[in-house]
Amino acid sequence: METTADPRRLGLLAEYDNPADLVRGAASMRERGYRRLDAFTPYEVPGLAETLGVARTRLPLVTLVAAAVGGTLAYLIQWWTNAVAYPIPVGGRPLHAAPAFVPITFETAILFAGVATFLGVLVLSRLTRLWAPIDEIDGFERASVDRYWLAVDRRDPSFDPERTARELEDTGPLRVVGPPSRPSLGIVRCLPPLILVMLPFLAGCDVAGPEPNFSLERMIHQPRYDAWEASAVFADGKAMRDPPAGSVHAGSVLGPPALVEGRTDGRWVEQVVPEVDAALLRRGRDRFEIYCAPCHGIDGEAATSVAQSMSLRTPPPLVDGDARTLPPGRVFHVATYGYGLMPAYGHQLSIGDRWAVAAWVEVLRLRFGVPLESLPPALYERARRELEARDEEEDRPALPEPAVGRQRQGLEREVER
Amino acid sequence: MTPEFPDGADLPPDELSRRELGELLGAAGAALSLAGCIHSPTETILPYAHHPGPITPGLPLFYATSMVLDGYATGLLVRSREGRPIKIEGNPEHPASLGAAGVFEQASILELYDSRRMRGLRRRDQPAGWNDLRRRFGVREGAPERADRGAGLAFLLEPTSSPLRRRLLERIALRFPESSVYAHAPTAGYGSRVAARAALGAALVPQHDFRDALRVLAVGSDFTASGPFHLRHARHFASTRRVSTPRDTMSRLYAVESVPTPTGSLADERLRARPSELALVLAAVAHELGAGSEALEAAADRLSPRQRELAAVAARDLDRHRGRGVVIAGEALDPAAHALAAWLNQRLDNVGSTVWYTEPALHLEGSPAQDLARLAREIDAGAVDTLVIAGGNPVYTAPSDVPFGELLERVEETICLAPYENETSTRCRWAIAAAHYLESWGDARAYDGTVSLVQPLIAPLCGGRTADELLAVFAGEESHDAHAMLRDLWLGGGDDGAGTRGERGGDRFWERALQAGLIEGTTLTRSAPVASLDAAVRLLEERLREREPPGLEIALRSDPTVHDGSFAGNRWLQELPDPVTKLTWGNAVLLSPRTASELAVGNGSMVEVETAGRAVRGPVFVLPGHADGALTLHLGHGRVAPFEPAAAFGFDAYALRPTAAPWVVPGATLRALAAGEMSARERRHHALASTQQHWRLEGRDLVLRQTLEELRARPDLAAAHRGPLPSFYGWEPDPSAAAHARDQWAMTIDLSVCTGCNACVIACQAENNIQVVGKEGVRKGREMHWIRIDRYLTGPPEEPVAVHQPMLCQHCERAPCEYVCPVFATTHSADGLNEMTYNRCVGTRFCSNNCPYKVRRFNWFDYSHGHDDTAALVWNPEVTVRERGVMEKCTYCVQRIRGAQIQARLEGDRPIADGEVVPACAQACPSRAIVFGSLTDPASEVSRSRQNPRLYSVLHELGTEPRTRYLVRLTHPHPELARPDARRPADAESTPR
Amino acid sequence: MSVAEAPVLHGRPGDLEVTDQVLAPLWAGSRAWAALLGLSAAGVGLLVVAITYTVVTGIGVWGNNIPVGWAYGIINFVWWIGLGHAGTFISAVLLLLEQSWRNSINRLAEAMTLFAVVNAGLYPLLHLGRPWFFYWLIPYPSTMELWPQFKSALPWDIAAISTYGLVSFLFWYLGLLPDLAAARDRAPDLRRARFYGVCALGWRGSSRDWSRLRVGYGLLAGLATPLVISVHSVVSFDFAITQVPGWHSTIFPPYFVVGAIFSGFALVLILVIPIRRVYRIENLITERHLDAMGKVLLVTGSIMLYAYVVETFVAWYSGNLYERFIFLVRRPFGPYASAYWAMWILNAFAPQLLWIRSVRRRPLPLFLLSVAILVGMWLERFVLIVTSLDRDFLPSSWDLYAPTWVDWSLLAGTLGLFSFLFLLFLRLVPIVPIYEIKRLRHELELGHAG
Repeated sequence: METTADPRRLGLLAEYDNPADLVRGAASMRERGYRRLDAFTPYEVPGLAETLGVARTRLPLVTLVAAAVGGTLAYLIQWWTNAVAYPIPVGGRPLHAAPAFVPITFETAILFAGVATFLGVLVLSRLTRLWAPIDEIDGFERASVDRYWLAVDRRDPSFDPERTARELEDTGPLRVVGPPSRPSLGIVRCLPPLILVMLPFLAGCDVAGPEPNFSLERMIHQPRYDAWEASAVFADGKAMRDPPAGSVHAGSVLGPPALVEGRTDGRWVEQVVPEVDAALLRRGRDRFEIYCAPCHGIDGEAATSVAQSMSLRTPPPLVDGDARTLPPGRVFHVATYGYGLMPAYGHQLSIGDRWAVAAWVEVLRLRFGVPLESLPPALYERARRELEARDEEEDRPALPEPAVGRQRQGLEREVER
Repeated sequence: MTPEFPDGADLPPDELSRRELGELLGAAGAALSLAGCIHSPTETILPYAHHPGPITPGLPLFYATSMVLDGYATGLLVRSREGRPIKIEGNPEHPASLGAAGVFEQASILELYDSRRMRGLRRRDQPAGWNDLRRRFGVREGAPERADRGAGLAFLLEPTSSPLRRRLLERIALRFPESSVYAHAPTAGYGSRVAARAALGAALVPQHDFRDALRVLAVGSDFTASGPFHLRHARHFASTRRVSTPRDTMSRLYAVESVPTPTGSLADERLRARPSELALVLAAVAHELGAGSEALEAAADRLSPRQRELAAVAARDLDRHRGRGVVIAGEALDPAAHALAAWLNQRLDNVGSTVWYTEPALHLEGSPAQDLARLAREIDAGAVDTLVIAGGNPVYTAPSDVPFGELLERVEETICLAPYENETSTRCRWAIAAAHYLESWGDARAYDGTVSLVQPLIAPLCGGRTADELLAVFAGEESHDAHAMLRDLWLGGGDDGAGTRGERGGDRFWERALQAGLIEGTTLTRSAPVASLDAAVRLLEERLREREPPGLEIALRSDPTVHDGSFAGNRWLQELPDPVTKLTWGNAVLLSPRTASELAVGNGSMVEVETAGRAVRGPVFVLPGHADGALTLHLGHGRVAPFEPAAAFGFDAYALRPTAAPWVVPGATLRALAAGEMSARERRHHALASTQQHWRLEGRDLVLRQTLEELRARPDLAAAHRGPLPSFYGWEPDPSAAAHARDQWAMTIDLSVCTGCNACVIACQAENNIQVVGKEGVRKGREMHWIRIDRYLTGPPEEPVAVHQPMLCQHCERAPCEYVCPVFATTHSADGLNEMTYNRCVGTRFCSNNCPYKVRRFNWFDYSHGHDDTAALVWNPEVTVRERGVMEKCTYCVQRIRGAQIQARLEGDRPIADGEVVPACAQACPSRAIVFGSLTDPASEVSRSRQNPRLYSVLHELGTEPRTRYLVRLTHPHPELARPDARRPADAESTPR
Repeated sequence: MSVAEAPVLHGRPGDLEVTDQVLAPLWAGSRAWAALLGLSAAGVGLLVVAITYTVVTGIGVWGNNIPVGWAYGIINFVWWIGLGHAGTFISAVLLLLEQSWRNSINRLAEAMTLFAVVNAGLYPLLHLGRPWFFYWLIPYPSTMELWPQFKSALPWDIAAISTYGLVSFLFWYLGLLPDLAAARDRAPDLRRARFYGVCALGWRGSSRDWSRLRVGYGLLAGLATPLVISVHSVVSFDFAITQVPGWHSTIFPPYFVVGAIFSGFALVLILVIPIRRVYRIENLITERHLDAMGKVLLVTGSIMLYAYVVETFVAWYSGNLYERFIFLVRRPFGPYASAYWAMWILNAFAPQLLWIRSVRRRPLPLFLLSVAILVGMWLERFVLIVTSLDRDFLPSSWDLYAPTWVDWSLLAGTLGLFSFLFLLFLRLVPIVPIYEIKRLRHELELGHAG
């Protein structure tokens, strides 16, 4: 049974002016067979609890469990975060350093236990209930100062209003009172305090306002100039500068114009300058398929979606049409300095790479437009089988016609020149 | 809230006015409550419109160029990012650099990005145009030339070796035959020239090769740390002192000097002598070597017994190694000393092997005072109506008895080329912004004559011009474009007057030359003239005849950090500790402990030095090892214009410099100032800001020292300071590391070749965006240098032994800093680096407390902000610019390591070769004292250094297992000389704060 | 009460009498109180200024440098947290030891503890280079999956301090409930009745509630006892786990704990002596209490003496170059020698006066002695922290330390904050646990109290 502050349980109360009388009264009531008794005192009167037969509380158990939970949790967090989830070596110490984890484990155990104990008291005693009918009894407030109250539960088997009242009177209290006459508007009365209690929580709510532009020094924006940054120092507002005309950087490749420019006294070099070997071709293919293929196509036929969508100025096929006739020197030069819409690749592909690309373009040209029949029989068979296989799954005409009839003004002009 | 240049002492960054504070009170509260809301600022991306060929955004390019200092060129390799120079390194192909770079070269980049630079051109206080100048002084169509054929036209230049400038001067001479050219060289010696003419019969300069010099006698010469060839000399001299096994041999250096220098700290036998005695020591040596002359006799008699003893021993030692020694006399010494040195080298058969002579590389040498004095007389006589000052700051660097400033006012037309508005330019009618050498085309010779090219890395930021372009106006050249003139000189015919042209036209040659930064085969031809003893003796007799006035001797020296004052505005150099005194932001009166106690002054006490009626006031710094009865003053400080007061620290020692004796001033008096004589402000202004307070080792084995004999006797001295220690956690290196990384980085520093020259300190500062904290910051002990050079003194205060120990993050495998960091901000990488995650750091400073080497630096304020956009251009884009409240420290230049790793991965995941990764400090080190590499490669230099018997780790007993190790400091003293007891601690008390 | 003959309670005041006597200050303030509050409010203002200046400009406005990375911030932190130890010690340990004399001073001491902990908690945040990221020391699920580094002693600190603060508060508040109820029921007007009504959480003093309260309070006391010991031990780990000469010592945990209780009791005395006088509750807080606390000071002070001696002896005996330098050269003869010797005199020798009973019993000498001890303990932390850091391993990096006005303002400011909170406490809460006194009286009447 819980405190008799509960309105449904409120039976009769006796008020005493000293603890001794109260204890005596309680004892006599119990002799009379009352079991549901309770007392309200300014302090804990020794021996009263025994007299009333108050059961032992389960609080210690709560504390123990909480301590265990807290400690375990703390240790697991430390172990998991430092040794499992994010194992970073520090100072050559072991990742799972048990001795170092002891203090926090201990403190957290105490923390949990302490909080649990406190809440335990509140919950078990139904505290935070700011109002109860019993508060309506005049003079009851002195129970916390210098009066000692004995309460009999109305549901006590041996409870009977008249008799119990008489019996209480016999214990010599100051007075015996019944439950408060009028039902209370207590809820209303304890609203203000409740709101008071809620206020702190309200404070937590988001407060609308202008966002502060406060870089909290996380080195997000450093006063240094990275590539492509803006700078107020220079007229064009860019931090990136052009090297002065005529300057030569230490790493630049100096060689005959044939090698570095792809032309000797005004004429394009007719064949690839560096030694052409398998390695060079492999490199060339590799670079070509990274840098050139997106527009000019893996096979150099410029049959790519990029090419198609560049309707204004279509990247020409390199293996066919006028571009086919461009000498390697010219290809190298275009790769270096770009042409029309094509950007320069001089700073992305080394000289060797650009020559390798030029060499690979030669290979693509050799490969282009070779009639199937001219293949050696074995190869022919295999090629046909593969082509048919492909055609079936894509149901396309047997052999792809070479891409023709694309605009090539640029190149034509180039050839005329 | 932060001033434009927060290193200003007038407004150190921790100042905050009451008003601002009031304003901030409110803001802060709100801000903190909303700490969660963080905005990443919007940034714009601006690509190249027309992509310049070689540049790949994000990747550096290197350009070979040259910096000219005192007329001599030093070859450089400058790293450029997106067309902006950001780091200056040595050019390995250049004879004056050999891949190393000095403090001036490296710090000079700060002056490129300096918003205080002069802009364009002004006439009086009106901005003018280049063409105004041309119209006024250039060739005008139909206009008559000067009637007086240039008699009233005078040019004042800095000393120069530039063939281009030579040609221009010749053309000027053709156009104005009567015009006169003067050169003012505040830091130049003059003795050697006089001596050469007298003793060698021709104006020749000595060249030295220390590669196989087994015995070196350096008299008043700091050849490893100053002078046009010091980088080369340091490298070569160090190569004779690398001992990796007890059997190796080692050179022996006798240093005679009045003030301790880096070179002196390397000496095996160091002798103190007053500046005036230095020549006498050489005389004594000559006497010992049998040069019969009573003058030498007399000179030797003036010396103390110890000085004579050393002279005798040195003489015998040098004689025993004839042909394998060098006798070198300091630039500042008087003619007698140089003549004697010349004779000694000849007597010792060094000429031809380790010493030879060449024409001077400078075709216009100048002098520290005399030429300026002559010019002053001319002006005084009213013989000059137009004066062209093509560089330099003569008004500031003029000797005290030449009132050059006032005289300037009296010249009708004065044209001045200056990087900043300075003492001179403000007095000139025309002021022209000088282009930084990184913006200029030009050429110059190295000390050995090698023609070095100056090529620009960026277009002039302030519309600056070069001296050549200015002279071209007067030479009446058509083109005033230095580039064109240079190509014309070297490609298009004509003779550069140095016989260096030959058949080498063509672009290919030119591009090769620009790529290398120099023109092959232009070293000056060797000659081996006969040095006459009589001439030397005659010079000596003159010396002996002039009687010394009573009082102290003042030795003037160009400052090791601001040189002649031209670097006074350079924040890096101002905050760079003097290699000997560790003083920053200003100079001091250097005295020996005995002299100080005789004069009853101590560290930091304010004194007045007076000579010939002129006086300067400054603080005393007691310097053990300094000669008694003398004091040393560094030139170049106390400049007022043009900089913020920050640069005006210290006092101007030029005020005591007479024309007659520009380097050694006799008969000075010094008196301590009474409390009332100096205002509190002045005292604060002069207060010493030293980065090191304590010089004794307190009996701690931090710097191990051994003589070669000791090493041979017991090679295991260092063994107790390396190897495994009992450990609670076991000793094998971190298992998680070695598994993941291919390389394990480590560093070894050889203490026996470190001169303490500071090249590494500046290199680190430039590479790693290290902030400057200003004088107040240094005085509070908050300097930010990631690598510092500790200097310890042992032995008696009169004859202390100085040891330099570069101290940087030791990258401990058992790092004490790591396990105390609560947020994993400093952790260990798989390849053995002790890493710092700036963004994670909350700034508890626990790591610094627990670092036994105290190499961690903390951002007490927002040092990085408050600089203007121009200053920010200098910062290395590959390194974080740290902000307030985070800890920082040496990273072994991790950005370079990762860069090399990326490159290696791109190239087929090849292993990184030894020497491919070089931290900035090791790269800059002239004597190669710092070795860096991977321990997993047994052949790497660092792995081999780990086998050296001299290897040890500092504070080994703490079990931090540092990756940075040291090699025992080795000396090679002469067995016959009495050893000053090295156990006694030097009584160098700490600087009062 | 065989220990001392002086009574713990003068006279036999009736329940109502006691209640009103203790509650009286709650209903009527005094001009003096307002003046004091204003004074301490000024102190709080100074604190706010100093904090704002530090946070906005940078930690550089403090005197710290390299090598002295920690100084006033940590000194004050350790000092305050030490002061915060007596409260819980008195309430918890003495409760378990059934020292009946604790009853009349425990609430006061606990309040003091809370406020000291509040002050102590400020410093670890403020001394950070980037205080706004202090929460990175707490394990929270971040998107970076980055956690605190639990091998460092600083996360231990956070756990210890926050636990200590919270548990101490709960302990204090639980014991406060019945008196808040009394205040509610004696409140002169509805406004205050409601205020105390809410605070009392509806306490009615039913006998079951009383028994739960007793058990719960006992449990919290049982928890708080090891907590008190652990907190300052953990604080001492901040130093003990490093290898800084002068810090790297195994004696630190006990030595710190004792030092804390030592200074804590001194502060209790400083507060109690004037209060019992002003509030005329000498009958509730008697010479007996003073005497008992004097004895505690004597014991702990003697332990401090022992610790100092041992520390120095071990430094010498270890033969360690660096330790020897710190303990035998630096501290006794260095520039901070005055602080060092003052620490010996005030902490180790002065308390020996307490062997004399009259000193223990008379308020004034006790008060002065306590002040001396507080100063002494602050100096101890100064010596410990500064003179270890400024002279560690490499002489080249040795440097001195000098505090700035901001350092001083922060110290003064926290003193202001403390007194501000404490003055509020005096006006809002019954400073003596009424129900404990009543019960004590009751037991005395029945004649079976210690």
